[in-house]
Amino acid sequence: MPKIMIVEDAPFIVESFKEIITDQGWEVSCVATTGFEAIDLYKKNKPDAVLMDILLPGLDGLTAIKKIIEMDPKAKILVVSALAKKDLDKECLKAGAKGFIKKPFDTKTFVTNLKGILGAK
Amino acid sequence: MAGEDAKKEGTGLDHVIGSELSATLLESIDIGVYVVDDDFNILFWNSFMEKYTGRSRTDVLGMNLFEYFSHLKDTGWPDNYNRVFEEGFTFRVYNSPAMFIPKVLEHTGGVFHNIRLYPLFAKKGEVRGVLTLLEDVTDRKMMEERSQELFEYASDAIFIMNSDGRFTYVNQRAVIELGLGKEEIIGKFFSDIVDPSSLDSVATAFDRLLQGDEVRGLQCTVVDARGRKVNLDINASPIRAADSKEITAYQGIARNITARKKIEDEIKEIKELAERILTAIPSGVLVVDRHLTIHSVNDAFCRTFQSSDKDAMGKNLVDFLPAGFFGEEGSEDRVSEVLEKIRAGATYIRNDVAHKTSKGEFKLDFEFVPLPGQEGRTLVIIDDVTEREKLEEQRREGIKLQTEVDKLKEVDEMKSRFISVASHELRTPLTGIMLYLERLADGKYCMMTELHRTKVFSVMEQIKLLAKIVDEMLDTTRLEAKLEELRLEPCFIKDVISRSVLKMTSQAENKTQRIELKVQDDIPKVEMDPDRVERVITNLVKNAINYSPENTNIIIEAGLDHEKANLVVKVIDEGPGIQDIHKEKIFGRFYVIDKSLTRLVGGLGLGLSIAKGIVENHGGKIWVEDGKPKGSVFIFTLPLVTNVK
Repeated sequence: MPKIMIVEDAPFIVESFKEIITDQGWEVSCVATTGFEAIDLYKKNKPDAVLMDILLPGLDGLTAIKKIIEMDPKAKILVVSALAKKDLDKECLKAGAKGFIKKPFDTKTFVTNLKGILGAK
Repeated sequence: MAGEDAKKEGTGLDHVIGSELSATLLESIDIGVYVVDDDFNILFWNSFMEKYTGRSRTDVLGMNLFEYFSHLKDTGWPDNYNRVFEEGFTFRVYNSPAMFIPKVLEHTGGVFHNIRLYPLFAKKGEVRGVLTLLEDVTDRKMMEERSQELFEYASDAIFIMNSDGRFTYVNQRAVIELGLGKEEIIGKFFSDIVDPSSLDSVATAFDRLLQGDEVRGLQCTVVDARGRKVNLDINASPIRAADSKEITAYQGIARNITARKKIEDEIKEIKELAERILTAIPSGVLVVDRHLTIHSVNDAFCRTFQSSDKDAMGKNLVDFLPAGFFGEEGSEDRVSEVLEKIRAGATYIRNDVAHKTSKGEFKLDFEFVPLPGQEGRTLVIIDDVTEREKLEEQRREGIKLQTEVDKLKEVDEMKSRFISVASHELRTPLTGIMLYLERLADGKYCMMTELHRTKVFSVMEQIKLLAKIVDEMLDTTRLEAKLEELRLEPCFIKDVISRSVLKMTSQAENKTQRIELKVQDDIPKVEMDPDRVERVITNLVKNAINYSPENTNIIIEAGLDHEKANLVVKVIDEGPGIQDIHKEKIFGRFYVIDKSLTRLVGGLGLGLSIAKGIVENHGGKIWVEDGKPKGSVFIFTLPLVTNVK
């Protein structure tokens, strides 16, 4: 059963993600609301995939991606961002993220992308 | 008395020395006079001789001249006397070394005499005596020498030329001025040293001298030894022989006026410059005396006061000034008060004085500047500040406008920032709403009837529309701020259009509309951001679909303009067309022509605004024209040669 870590500071979103993940028969291993927390929890829990927001309090998501990849080059990170900054997707992928979806999105997009990440080697 | 002195009788000279008159004369003159007979015995010895030699008559009369004054024996004098006796002619010697040593010796440098020996004839016709006139010329000679010196070192050059025009004498000053040695100048013709520019005037002057006239103030240029030009002012006159009056030579005096001429030229230049400046400057400039009588005016003054300098001269300035310039009309006190101040050396300034003329009212600035040491003369400067006042007013208006423009810009930027932030903040809750609604419709939370599901789906549609609006808002602000740079690459417009059409075909088919492509074959690859240009075409086609009725055609044309400088793309529809008043405004943000229609098709009125932003960022233009016979033609251009802003 794949374990997924959610990095997101909006509880409303976290709850919906949790529901969808559980429906798929997967497990939410932990939830981080800041970049620092994300790095910390990744170290402790070694999840199978990470859902990563970019606009976070404290350390931003992009830096968190870099740190996590530094620790574990095989980390599977899917970026989920509302930030419409130009070339942000490219930057994230360059930093080591495996996928990028832009908010808002529907359940189908979300699940398809997450499956893709989990299946990636 | 003289008769008594003549001791020796019978010489027959009584008639010569006997007269009372001549005796008195001989006694009173400052010339030594003595007479000897043919044996050199002294017959007459006047009182000058007594004083001069210190030998009284009683001592010398009857004595032999050469015995008594034995120092004369070994000189040439006995011979001179003998020759006079023998040949009967007059003997003269000038500036001769002293014949007699004067009793009072005043000059250590020697004593000089002019001596004349006249034969005295007896009645029979033979020379029986010699009259000697002795004149002490020592003083005169010294004087001559001194004046010669003065001559030599006079501040003017002095020269003498012979009748041929050759220099025979020049003084030291001439040597200094010409830088040539005396011996070099002597023998030269005057024309040898004259500068070619002065040859004519010198020749004319010589003609006058030849005719016996004097030449005064001849200005000519000569060349000195070093080749420098020396300007001379020359006075010259002919010298005539004492007897024949024939012209034997010419004398001249020349003053070096090079420095003076230079200064004169400079003064002339400065004066001309000053006059040019006075003519050229826009300020009225005039000089008035202590009574404000005008002494000189420049052109600008005449223009301002519509006068001529002839009219203005001699008039009183007050006649030109606006009434009440110095205070209440006719108040002489005020005028004199101001005048007193100016005379005392104070500058008097009046600004913005209204001056009414037939050409309208002017604003003038006056400045009265006393001229020191000019007997109360005052310089008056008058500036026409009418235009300046206007410009100042315009400048103030301009600043006000600029401030308002800046404020508006600030507001606009704030608005863009707000939209940008707001759209970011909207995305996250929209995501949550979407996901929950989907789950709700899926029956994850409760049992859903078909009606429930339909309602939730229509809410979801609205959420999707909201998400689209957020995207559009962000796009316009980003385009305006040029946050997103264009990703240029050479593309065939046909490919870009095809991609857009592919996406829109199903929408068009829903309204049974056909999209037709007319792309010219000769269009080269054009530098563009293909995604963004596709967006432009999509927005235009989407509008065409939305606003045109069913069963119509939408044509997309692409080609080059006449100059082959721009790519031109047209989207032609058969819709209702666009009224002229809207043609520009529709490219603005949030502008919709018919709100009810907009609600029907769903949109924020940003599609054309985004298209405009993209096209202009490419350096192109976008506009709309009326279709033929109906509908609209949206046209945009892209430059073939990239000049992206």
